[in-house]
Amino acid sequence: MKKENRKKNQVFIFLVVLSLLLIFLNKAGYLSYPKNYLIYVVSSVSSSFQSSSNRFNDVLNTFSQIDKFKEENADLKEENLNIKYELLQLKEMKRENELLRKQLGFSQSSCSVGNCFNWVMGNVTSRESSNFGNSIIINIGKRSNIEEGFPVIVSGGLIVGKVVDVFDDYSKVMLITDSNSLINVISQDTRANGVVKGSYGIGVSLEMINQAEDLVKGNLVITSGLDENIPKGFILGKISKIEESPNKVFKSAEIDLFVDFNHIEEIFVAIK
Amino acid sequence: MINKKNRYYIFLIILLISLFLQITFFSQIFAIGYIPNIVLIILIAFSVACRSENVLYFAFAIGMILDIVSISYFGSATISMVFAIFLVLYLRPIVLKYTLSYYLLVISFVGVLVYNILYVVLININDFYALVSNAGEISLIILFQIIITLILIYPITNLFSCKNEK
Repeated sequence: MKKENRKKNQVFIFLVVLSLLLIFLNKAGYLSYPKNYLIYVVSSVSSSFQSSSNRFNDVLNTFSQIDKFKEENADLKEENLNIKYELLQLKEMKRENELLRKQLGFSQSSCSVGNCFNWVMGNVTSRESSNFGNSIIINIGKRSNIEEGFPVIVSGGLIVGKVVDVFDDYSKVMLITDSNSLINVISQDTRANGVVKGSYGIGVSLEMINQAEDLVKGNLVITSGLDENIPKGFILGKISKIEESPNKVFKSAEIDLFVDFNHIEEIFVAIK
Repeated sequence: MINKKNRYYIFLIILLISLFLQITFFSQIFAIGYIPNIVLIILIAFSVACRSENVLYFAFAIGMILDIVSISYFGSATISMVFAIFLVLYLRPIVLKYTLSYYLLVISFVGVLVYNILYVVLININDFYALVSNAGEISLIILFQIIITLILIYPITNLFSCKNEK
């Protein structure tokens, strides 16, 4: 019994020391090749599990939301008509803008604030499984010119996170619902500036809004462009509840996100 | 009952399948905060059923893989997993003397609690304020993990029952 306990203690101490050594080596940057190889192996296998999971999830969703689909369909038809009308107006405004630019001699650019972006499409191969963080692994990396800090969106211009670690063929993305995620944003109508902070994967909150600034329930919240590498105009969600108190320095608000983070399959990374 | 010779191979296959299910299927189906930590439950079950210190090596390997696929501080899952499994192995002969019927629940409870608390502390090591201010949410998540472990531990432990092990 004593011999067994001694062996158990030795194995434990050995593994703890090994863990600390690996942590140190990782910090010093010596583990990039082994990590690269391991993530390649893990992600290659997890991709097949992920595709099956996506299919299962779709079937589950379809059955559970049939009634909701009917209602959504009716709402979307109405919204579609309104958007078509807005689009017509915007086209007119664009024409007018181009004419004015020509008259004033401005050069045309499709880039935003001096930053030009291309888009690379990728797929989610696995997700963080701990309940205290929120990240995904995507199947594009250094070979696709991905770098740390690049924003990640889904179709519709909805931002879901940013790249935090890059390997040859894979990258880790910290989702905006992660508690370490901070994104500078503005309210689209009132232009109130604040910071969106993630909350242990459950949701996000809009914080640090000046008391003098206005917030309106239902307003869209978009990226402000003040973060490095994250251009202006990516949508996060809409303001659902405003929390203000004269005793506090800042206002805060809750945001209803438009993205269902459990159903992200395809993503796009903005490359400078 | 599993043959002693093939025990580790079968355990490894089950563990790997559970790991991949956890980082894909479970993370997508279950809401964040309520994802069962199935690999931890399987490691605890095997440690209790078969009392082998070799489980610590499996705990180390699984922890490493979880660290590699996560964005949290590298080593958090590894150290938490090794500590939790070591504690389970350490407590097993002690608790077994007193509460034969419930030793499994007691050991599982301690294992899951230690893993989750250690993990949360390590990933928030630079920001204790965030840890303290979110203590309520974190407690609920840990409570859910404990409940799901206590429900699943018994059938999973039976799967690994090792003959003539005390």
